[in-house]
Order: sequence, then structure tokens, then C-alpha cells
Amino acid sequence: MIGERLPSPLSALAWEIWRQKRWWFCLSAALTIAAYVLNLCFPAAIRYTVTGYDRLLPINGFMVAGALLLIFGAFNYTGFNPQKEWTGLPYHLFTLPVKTVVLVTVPLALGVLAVETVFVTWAKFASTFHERISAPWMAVLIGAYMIFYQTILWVLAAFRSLRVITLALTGTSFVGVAFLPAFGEYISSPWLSEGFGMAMMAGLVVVAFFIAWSGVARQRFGGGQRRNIIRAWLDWAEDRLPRRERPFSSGANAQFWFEWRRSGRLLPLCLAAILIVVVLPLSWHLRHEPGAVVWILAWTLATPMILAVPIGKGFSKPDFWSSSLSVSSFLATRPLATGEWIVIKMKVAALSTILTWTLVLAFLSVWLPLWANLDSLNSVRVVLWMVHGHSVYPQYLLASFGFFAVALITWKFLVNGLWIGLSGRRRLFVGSAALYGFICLAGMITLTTVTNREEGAEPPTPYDPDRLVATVQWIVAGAVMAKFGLAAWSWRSIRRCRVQQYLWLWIGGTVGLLSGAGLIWSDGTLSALLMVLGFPPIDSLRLASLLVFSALLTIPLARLGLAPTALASNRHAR
Amino acid sequence: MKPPSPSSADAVVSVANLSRQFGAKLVLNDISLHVPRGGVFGLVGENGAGKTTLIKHILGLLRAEQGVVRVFGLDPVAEPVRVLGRIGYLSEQPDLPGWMRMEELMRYTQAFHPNWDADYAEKLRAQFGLNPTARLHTLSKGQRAKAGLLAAQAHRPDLLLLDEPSSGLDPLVRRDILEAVIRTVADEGRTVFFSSHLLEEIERVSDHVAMLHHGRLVFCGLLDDIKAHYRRIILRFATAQAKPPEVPGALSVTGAGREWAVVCRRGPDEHFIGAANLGASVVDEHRTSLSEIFVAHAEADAP
Repeated sequence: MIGERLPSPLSALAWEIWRQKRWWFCLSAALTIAAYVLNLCFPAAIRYTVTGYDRLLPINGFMVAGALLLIFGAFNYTGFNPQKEWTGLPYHLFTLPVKTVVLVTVPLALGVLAVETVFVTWAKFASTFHERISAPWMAVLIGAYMIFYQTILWVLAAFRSLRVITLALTGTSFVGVAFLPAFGEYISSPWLSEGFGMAMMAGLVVVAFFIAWSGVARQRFGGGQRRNIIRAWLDWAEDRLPRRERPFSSGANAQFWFEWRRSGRLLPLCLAAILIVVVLPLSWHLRHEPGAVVWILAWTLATPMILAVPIGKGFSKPDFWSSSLSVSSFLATRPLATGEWIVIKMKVAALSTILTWTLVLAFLSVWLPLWANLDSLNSVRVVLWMVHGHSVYPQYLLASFGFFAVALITWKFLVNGLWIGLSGRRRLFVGSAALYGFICLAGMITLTTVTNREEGAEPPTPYDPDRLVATVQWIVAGAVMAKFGLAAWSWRSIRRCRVQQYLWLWIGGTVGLLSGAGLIWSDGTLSALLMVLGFPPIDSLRLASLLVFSALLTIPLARLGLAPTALASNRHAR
Repeated sequence: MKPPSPSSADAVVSVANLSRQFGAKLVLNDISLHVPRGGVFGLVGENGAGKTTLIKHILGLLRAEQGVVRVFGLDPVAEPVRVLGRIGYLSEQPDLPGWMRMEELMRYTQAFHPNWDADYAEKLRAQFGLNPTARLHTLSKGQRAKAGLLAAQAHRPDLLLLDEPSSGLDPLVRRDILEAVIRTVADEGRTVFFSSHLLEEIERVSDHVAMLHHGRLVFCGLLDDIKAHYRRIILRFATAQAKPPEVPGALSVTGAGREWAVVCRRGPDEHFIGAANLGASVVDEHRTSLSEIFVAHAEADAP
């Protein structure tokens, strides 16, 4: 009997937190153990020297952050209250015969205990913090942040997503506070001592505890904001926008509107926000910096693709804003063919991409001629002009091909995961997201390993570019074959007219990209560009054949062909 | 003896030997039934009996693992557009998109149904008192049920599927739902498939009724036939009985002391013979309500 095993409210609450988030705790422990083993893999010469520590810092920092974040995630002890439309301390706890102070204290205390345990374990074998920040000071800060974190989650229950911003701001402030004692070496002031900082934190923790206690008590006895404030603001803003008044001409059109409202407009809106809030002021502020224009331009062009990755994860779900991956019965009972639904999602993604890149173009067409310092861009143009036989036309051609390519990549980021998200399989969905994280981690480890090699030391295998390229060519060729095979298999159940449409798109896209690739690579343009940007020269001719294979690998929408089957299995076999 | 089941001829819904398992639990066990065209088909059963699972099969939201499901003679999984285009569906908790406005829901739903009757939809909206500009998440539970009912009914579907639509709703909303059922039936040739816990409602409006119990079909047929098959008799014994008497063919025996109420399927003469064999006399005997039959079956299979 559970009751026999849970003799007190304290252990019952602890058990509930453990039961709900046990995988988070296990993952945090696994990450800690993995990091310990990984540290052992590096020779002592690296681990026990200052430079070694510094070089291991990216790996250890990444992994300790992951382990701590998992603990913080586990102590996101909240539940949705449908009556109040907020996500605060689980509502069912309010009906338990337990005092509010106990309801608040138990998760707070357990959270501090858990996060300190992880931190102390890390500090034992891999000191990942900067030497100028002492371990006790860090321990106090992490414990205090756990208190503030849970207080913000509960007290700002009606703010929902705005809490994330509040938490991020608090976290960023903590990073600044962490370094305050370090300034004490340069500025003689008792205010900058660790002792004062600890006392200050202790005071703030007490205040936070009372805020959490009184806030939860108020919610428990009927107080608090009823509706989600962010949602109310968004509703208010949307009420001011023009609305569709006409009926839809078909079910497909209605579904297109539905998908657009739920997820399609998000990418252009996010990009517009970034352009207005970040890029525009930055470009104005740095308008006299000759080198800034290249980097701002590069980031502006990269932003839609970067944004498309996380938005594409949500876009791949049946409903962007729902945490459930199942198709709701409202949508599942629409008289709409499953394949048609996928086509609509692809069209929405295409419109989203077109609008996003139109915004980028609009911004560039205003920024570049009006206030950008074009000196560095002009030097790039001169190089291109010289390389292309003193003609300006290849520049425009390259820009057009480049634009088409980045738009295509953006669209692919939005739709590539449809077969995962629409399948309704949470493990597959989470696994694919974890894969991205793993690739980042593996990249960092590889980079650290490479940079840690002793200067002048012989690499394990002599560097032979021809051999490397030949190997990569074979791998890519194999991947291309596999991708074509998967495409043929996954598209077998798609309607013939759709396959024909796709083939036209594919041929057009492939020819376009390959032509662009040929122009860029075959005449050494890339080398010239890299030289202008200050990078060492590379032999672009050697990479020409690789790019052809890569273009072939990129285009076939093999995985997209799996989407209708994935959606059908979700829609009809729930 | 089981009451006769409706025939497959001209059936709107035909289910044959349908079984469904979730993990180790057999949720539907060899179900066969036919829902005739026109009229109201009531489906009763306790929580977890398999009612919603059966309805999901009819909607094509679950693929038949074993057995066959046909709606209008079509496979709802293979032909979702043709099947769902003729169905109106309302569930206990209609998961309507909360971000939509009422008028947007009407326009959106209209796009999928060429038979959408805009005047009728507007009339229902006004009758239900739904604000066209209100977002669905701001509506009360009862109003959301009405909005769902409007969306399910305004295209005058050939089959109106109601999965416990009135659970947890106040009597006024329940009345609106029942009126919708009656209106749909008034349209010639239209059919309502109505699952509910509220047996009085089912009894009031249903022509045919079926009962599911632990995934099995206990009975299926015309409501009057079913009710005619069951009797509730009161037995009086000469002396007080310490435990319920073992009445042959009884579904349930309740009472205490000398008087015991028995629900059974047997004919009137058999009751008297059986009672005489037990040393009791029949002091009262009448037709049972659907509720009594339901409870008797549920208790008969209780562990």
C-alpha cells in the first residue's frame, strides 16, 4: 500500500516529485557519471594543469550546466489549473490537509538539497567554475537561485511564458553577482566581499521564501490573477488586427488558415521581432564600423535558418502549441485526407519561408543603401568582379542562387521533422531533439580534443587531404544512394499527381543548386571570399565534387515522404 | 435468450466481430452490431465498458485490429473524407480550439461540409446564446458543449455521434442536447448514435439500445423488445431468508428478510413456477426500466 510507505506529507510530496521527474534525476546522474569517465579519459597532464582545466572548461561547463539544468527542470513542480488558466503549484495539493508552509517548504528544501548534491559532486572531480569564484560562494548562489526559481514559477503562475524571461533575467543577474567578489581584488570595498554576498543572499532567500509562502497561500484561498496575462495581451493585440470575414472556399483552404494561425506566421513574426529589436539598432549603432556590416549581414542571413530549427520542431507536431503529440479529436474528425493535410503543412511552411525572406530582403534593401558602411562589402564585390571576368552579372546570379538555397534550407528545416512530430511518438520526438544536443556536445568534445593536442606534437595520423576527400566522397556517395532508396520507398504511397509535382520541384531545385555550386566553387570564388574575411585559403577545386554530392544529398525529400504514413498511424490508431 | 439484434440491411454502422486490446486489457471483445438508418441508437455501459473505444472505431480514430467496421458501407480509416463528411461528432469534452472565435469555428467547420446550413447554424447560435466574437476558451463548459453541438449539427449530418455529451452539464444544456437529438431524427433518414450514462435520457429518446459491459455486448435491439424481455418480480417468503435466494435465470436479487426483488429475463409463467419451487409467492411483477436492466447486468457480472 502506498499509504503504508508514505507515513508523512513530507515523504508523500517528495515521492510525488521523484515519481513525476525520476527520469530527469536519472539523466542528471548519468550526465555526471559520463562526465567523470570522460575527464578520466584525458591524460593527467591536461587535467591537473591550469591550461588543461581551461581547455576542458567547455566540456565540463556544458555538462555541469546540463546536469544542473536537469535538476532545475525536475523541480519545475507545477501543474495546470484549468479554472484559473495558469500553471502554478499543483492545484490538487491545495485540497490536502497540509499547511501551506509545508507545501512550499518541502519542494524548496528538496530542490536546494538536490542541486547542491550535484554541484558538490562536480566540484569534487571537475572544478568547472572560474578559479576566481570560490566553491562555497557558487554553492550559495546555486542554492539561492533554486529558491528564487521555484518562487518565480509559483508566484508568477498567471504569467506563464513571461516567467521564462523573468527566470532568464534572474539567472543572468546571478552570473553578474557571482563575479562581484572578484572585483574586490581591484576595488577595496566591504560590499564586494564573499561574506557580505553570502549574507545578502541569505536575506534574499528568506524574503523569497515568504513571498512564495504568501503567494501560494493567496492562490490556495482564491486569490491571484485569474487569466493568463500574456494570452490576454495577445488576444487584445489580435483583436486590433483585421480578421477574415469571408467563408473559406474549401476544407483545404480552411485548414491552411488553421495551420497558418497556429504555426505558420511564427517564423516571420519572430524574425521581424529580431530585426526590429536587435539587428536594426545594432546596424545603426555600428554604422561607422567598416567590418561590422559583413558580420551583421551574415547573422541576418543566418537568423531565419537558425530560427527555423526550433520552430520546425514545433511545426512538426499536430498542434504547435500543444504539449501532446496526439492528433486532437477535433482535428482528427475533419473530413480531410491525411496526405492533403501534409501538403497543407508544406504550403504553410513555404509561405512562412517566403514571407520571412521577403522581410530579410526588405530590411537589407533599406539598411544597405541608407546607413550601412559598404567598404568591406565593396571589397568583396571587387574580388568577385575580378574573378568573374570583370562582369557584374555573376554577382547577381550568385546572390539569386544563394537566396534560393537559403530559402530552401529554411523551408526544409521547417518540414523535415514532420514525419517525427506527426507520428505521435514522444520517444522519437524527444530522441531527435536529443540527437541535435548530442551532435553539439560531440562537436565540442572533438574541438576540445583537437585544440588540446600539444603544440608541435604529431597528429595520430598524418594529414592527407586527398585521402580525406576520397573517404568523404565514398561516405557521401553511400549516403546519396541510401537517401534515394529511402525516397523511393517512402514516396511509394503518395498520390501520383503529388509525386509529379514533387519531381518538378526537385529537378528545378537540384539544377539550381548545382549550378550555383558550380559557379561558387569551380572558379575559386569561395577562396577569394574567405581571404577577404581573413580566413586561410582553401583549395576549392578539390571540394567541387563533394559539393555536387552534397547538393544531391540535400534535395531528395526522402523523410518527408514518411509524413503521411506517420500522421495516418497517429490519426487512426490512437 | 438474447433479444434480436437489428439486421445489417440498410445499416448506417455495421460492426462485425470487433475486438480491441490496449496492452493486456481487452477493451472490446468480439462486438457485432448494426445501427439502422433513422432513429436514435442508444449505447449504455459503465465507465470503462468500451463505449468511447467503439465510437472511436466508428469515427476511424482507431483502426480495427480484429473485425470489421463499416460506416455508410465504407471503411472509416481508408475513406475518412467520405465518412467524416457525413458525420457530426460531439464528445464529452469537445476539444475545440480555444483560440478560435465562435464565428471562426462556424466558418472553419462550414468549409468542410458542403451541406452546411448557414441559416440553421445562425439560428442555433442565437438560440444557444453564443457570442460570435467570443473566443472558445472564454466560454463556460456548457457553452462549449453548445458550440460543439452547433458545429456537429449545422451541416445536418446523416449520422450524429454523441459520446456522453451531457455528462457534467446542467439540465438546461442537457435539454438542448436532447432537443438536438430529436431535431436530427425529425430530419428524414438521419440517425443519432448516442452514448450516455444518463439512462433516463437514453430511454426517453432511443429506439434501439445496446449495452456494453467489460467490453462485451450484453444486449442490442429495439428498446421496447429489450424491456419486454425483462421482468422485475417481488418474491415473498414464508420465513425471513438469511441470504439472497438462488432464483434460476435471475440477473440480480436484492432485498432482505421475507421480501426479495428479482430482475430476470424469463416469461411471466416461469416466475410463478420458479417462485413456487423456492417456497415463495410472487406478490408483484412489472416491466423493468432500462436503468434496472443496466444495474442488474452490471451487478450480475460484478466480482
